[in-house]
Amino acid sequence: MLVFNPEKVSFAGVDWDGVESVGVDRLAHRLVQEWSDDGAAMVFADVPEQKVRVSLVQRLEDGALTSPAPGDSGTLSFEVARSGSDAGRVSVSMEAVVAEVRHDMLGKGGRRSMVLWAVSSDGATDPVSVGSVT
Amino acid sequence: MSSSFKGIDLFGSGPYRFAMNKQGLFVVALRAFGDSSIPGSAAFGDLELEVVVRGRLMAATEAALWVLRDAITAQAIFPASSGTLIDQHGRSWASMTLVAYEENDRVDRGRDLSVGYEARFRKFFGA
Repeated sequence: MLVFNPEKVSFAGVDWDGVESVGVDRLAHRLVQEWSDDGAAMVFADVPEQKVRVSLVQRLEDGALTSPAPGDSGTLSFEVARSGSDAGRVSVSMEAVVAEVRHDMLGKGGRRSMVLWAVSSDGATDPVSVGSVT
Repeated sequence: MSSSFKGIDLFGSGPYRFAMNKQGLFVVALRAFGDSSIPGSAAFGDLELEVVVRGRLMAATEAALWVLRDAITAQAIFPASSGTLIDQHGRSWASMTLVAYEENDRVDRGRDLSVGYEARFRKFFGA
């Protein structure tokens, strides 16, 4: 999932303004691969341990004395408009833990790049929920 | 064809591979008998034949996976009886006993439920 200019971005109850993009990557943490005695080709592959990596880029107009810190956790949510209207607007939310926070100079302002890891409530439920905005 | 032990398909739920363990003579250093000044070693017969099956049991449910696991461990309870082990290419070993069954450190719960394992069969001397 890659979203440009998401709206109403918040994390742990705090609004995050100026978010330019949110990327949600799904990665294999444990990859199981098996071969048989019948030939050279792999006969089985599965990913029984997976993780969801969220990369978020936020534009900063002014300097910031505080920032999210690695280990901070909370609900990350944002809305996505598929068109200029509210029709088809969807809400994305997930429980997430901050892993990295970096800052870059960008002209007169700056840019904050963050990496978060989404966590599931029980291991079986997808950490990312997508629903329509009513 | 599928492999079997005593005519039972124990491993066919998922992929597996057969391997031979070390073969040859059973060699012991002579100093092992108590006198460290004695040099050399001697052979005391043949190593017992061991065939190792490594693979992955696969099932759609927890209960179905336990059926597969229990079917194997049921063959490795003392006093275990020996039987013929046949690999998927038809090579057979008579009078084999399942002496050990060891699983990997976790059941993998992905698209399928599966667990990696190693099953060790031995042909005891005189069998």
